[in-house]
Amino acid sequence: MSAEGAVPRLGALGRVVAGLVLGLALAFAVSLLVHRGAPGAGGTPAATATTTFPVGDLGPAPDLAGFTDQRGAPFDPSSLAGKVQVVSFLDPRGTRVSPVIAVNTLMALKADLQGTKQFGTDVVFVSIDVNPRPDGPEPTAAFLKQVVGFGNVPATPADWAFLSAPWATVAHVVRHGYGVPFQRLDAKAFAAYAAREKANGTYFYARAWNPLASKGPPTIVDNGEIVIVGPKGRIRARIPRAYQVSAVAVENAVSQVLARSGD
Amino acid sequence: MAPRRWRLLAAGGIVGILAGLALFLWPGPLATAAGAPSPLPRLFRAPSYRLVDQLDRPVASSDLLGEVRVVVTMDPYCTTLCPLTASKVRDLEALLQRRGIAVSVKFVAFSIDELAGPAQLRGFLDQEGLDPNVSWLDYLTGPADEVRSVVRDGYHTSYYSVSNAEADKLAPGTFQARMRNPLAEKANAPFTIMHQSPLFIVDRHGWVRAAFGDASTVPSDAVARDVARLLRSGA
Repeated sequence: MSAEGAVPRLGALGRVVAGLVLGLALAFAVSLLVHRGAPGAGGTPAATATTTFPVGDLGPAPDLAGFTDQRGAPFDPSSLAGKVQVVSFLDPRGTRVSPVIAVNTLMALKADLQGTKQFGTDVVFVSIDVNPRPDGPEPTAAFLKQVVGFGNVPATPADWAFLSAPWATVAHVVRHGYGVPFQRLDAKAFAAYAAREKANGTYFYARAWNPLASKGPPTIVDNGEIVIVGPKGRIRARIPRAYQVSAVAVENAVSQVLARSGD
Repeated sequence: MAPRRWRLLAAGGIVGILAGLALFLWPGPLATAAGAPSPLPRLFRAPSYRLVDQLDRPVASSDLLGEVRVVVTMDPYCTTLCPLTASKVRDLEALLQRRGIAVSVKFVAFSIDELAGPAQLRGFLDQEGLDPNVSWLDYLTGPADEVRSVVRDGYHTSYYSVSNAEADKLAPGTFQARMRNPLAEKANAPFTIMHQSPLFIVDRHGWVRAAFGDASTVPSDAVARDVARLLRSGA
């Protein structure tokens, strides 16, 4: 068949119309590809305020041998086996993000998990004290009682373990084990950090009430992440800036990890 | 040279491709049909008002027609969510700046404490790291009944005063960290305002197009995306 014969025998107008139809069909196909590839395709429905955090296999969680719980007893890492861990990095003397994460995010999440009877059974909280001092026991129990609001029913390490260890251990476990690049800054270094953050528009100005805060301590920064560890000790999700994340968003990630508990 | 029938077909095709790309990629109903994000629904009419801002200047809602607005409530004496909302407002504005769309957006905050005047609003903004003189933010106050009409009736946002003793009893169930607020410590008010802290996006024509339950934890990216979508669509 000749090239001439490949085009059906249409009139001039028919050929133009056929070309238009083909062109429109091609443009429609291209637009489908473009829209499907665009971030946020499908749209954020109005009133949806929950971020979804990806869940995958992000490597092994570190061993927590050598840590002490809020009652001053050596922590037994084997107690975490088979449970999803919601791991946070808190400064018990902190007035920046630590109280906000502990109360607004974790306590709200705890209430939701208690409603489904999963708190303490399927899901446990682990908080690492990221600002240990060499001069005495850490006020982890006092933080849970006075700041977080456990009152007369103290948090038990089996449900919510607030763990402390010497600085070198903490720095190694948090930075290398969990991959959370937190920093401990003296007053001068913090001033420089704050100036940079303010220039970027990302400085966290709000200050939380904390009766355990003492004057002039080093300031811990960049510790606002929550890490979710699966029942077999693998890191499954990371939730940055958790002080600005709803408990529902964390709960969604926990639910996804629970659903994959056979991993 | 190609035969005439091929040239006519090719010409039609080129015109069709150009027309199709314009129709399907330009925001609008056909773009939606092709899989583009659906337009944000009109939820309800934003209320109209005449109030004063943090610099004691009169501001009317009609002044803002033609601008996309991000709306929040903030009690300058709040010791729970409002300092976090202020942080979020600043983060959001910085994000919109980075995306090059801040110039088309106004932030509007309603004060829900009837005892706080412009001086207290300025004090709160200042202590939370927000410059009271910026043009992108209206922090508004006015007569209590006028504010109530806007916030409670217009934006359907609940707030009410209770004694501090009553607030302490309610606190354990609210899961809100107690925040430092030097302004509140100085005022030492005998009451606390219990309130919700939603965030709304209002389009250029005064329609509320998105509502988020808690301004302090709303994903900034979601707000920026919705704002950008409104700006692109011309709504």
